[in-house]
Amino acid sequence: MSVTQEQLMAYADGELAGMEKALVEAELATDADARATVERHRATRAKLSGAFAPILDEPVPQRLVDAVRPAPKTETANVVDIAAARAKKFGWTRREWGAMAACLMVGILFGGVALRKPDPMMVASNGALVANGALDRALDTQLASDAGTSVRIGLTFRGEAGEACRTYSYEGGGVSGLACREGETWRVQMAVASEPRAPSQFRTASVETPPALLALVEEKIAGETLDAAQEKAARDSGWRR
Amino acid sequence: MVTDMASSADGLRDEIVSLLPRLRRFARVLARQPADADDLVQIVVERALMRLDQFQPGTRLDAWLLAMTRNAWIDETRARARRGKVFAVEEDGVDVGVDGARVVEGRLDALDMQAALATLPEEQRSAIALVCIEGLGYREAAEAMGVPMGTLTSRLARGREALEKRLGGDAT
Repeated sequence: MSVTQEQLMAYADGELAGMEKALVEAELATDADARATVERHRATRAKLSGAFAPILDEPVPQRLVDAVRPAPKTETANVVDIAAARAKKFGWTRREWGAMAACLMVGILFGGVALRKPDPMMVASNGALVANGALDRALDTQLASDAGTSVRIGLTFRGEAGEACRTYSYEGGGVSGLACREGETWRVQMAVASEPRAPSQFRTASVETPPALLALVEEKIAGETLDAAQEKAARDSGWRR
Repeated sequence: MVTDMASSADGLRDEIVSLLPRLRRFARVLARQPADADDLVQIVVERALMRLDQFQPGTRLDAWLLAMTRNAWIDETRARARRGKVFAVEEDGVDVGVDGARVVEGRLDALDMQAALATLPEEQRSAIALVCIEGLGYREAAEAMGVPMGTLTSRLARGREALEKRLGGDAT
């Protein structure tokens, strides 16, 4: 026999080319044992890849995805963003409102799916959407400077009627929006699906406020956004008007 | 240029995310216990992000990450051995017998194959997994394992032989 066992294996794995390949093929034409060996190698390979293929279809644990794309980690820049938005003097066209409505739908659907466990982030109550679970707790108690929960608070401001309003986003991206205080609940004014971002390494990215959300803030706000001390005072007074 | 590098780093992250299923699969060959395997992948991701600048554009990212996975596994088994901690399933040679009665056919083949592969020494297991499961060429697999082609080929041949023997009737 003019070819080695390792050459037969390499042939079965598609590793041979040119002269060496021709040599093995000449051998295979006349040698049944060699053909059987190549078949055996191919069968083992197929069984191996078949045995492990189902792992590819398993959902990848979120913690691994998060490890590749760390969540943004600062609380600055919102003030700058809103100033810039303000300078622009938003005038919304019908098309933009349409886009916002679409975003809202996506946001609600996405939020419903992604955040169903353990508690939905919003529930319908008397025809309105109110914050629930972790989102409700964050809106109630969390300051913009707080990190550590799944929800981050961005801007806090008062609306025309003196009600407290706050923007929120989910750590790791996905959904952000605006909720305003109504009685003892937070009424969700908007939930938008924000584009998942892959921040480059070591850059401290700001929590990005989607333009549609900024525009809504612009609509609602009376006066300026609250600074850290005002925000804390408002929280400590139970978000009273 | 700087922005090019920044955006290519973002692109690499996206590619890494898309490779996570394959990294999990290879890690499962090494660690067998799904929880251990995912811990391993997490370590690999953290290392890869720290060394992103060392990745050579134009080379295969999957091979780079698979190599890193194996190295991390070796580091991890050594560290655990030093601490006297044993994995849920031992490195070599346990849990081979699969109770045929309780396993549906087809699934049995897969479990048999996984169990048989688990009995091989790590060097043979990795060679087989990189070539037969992950589809690397011999040269790429050799580079991933940091050995010459000839060494890779003989590990692959010996590993396959042992595997076929076990599957063909458990002749030890």
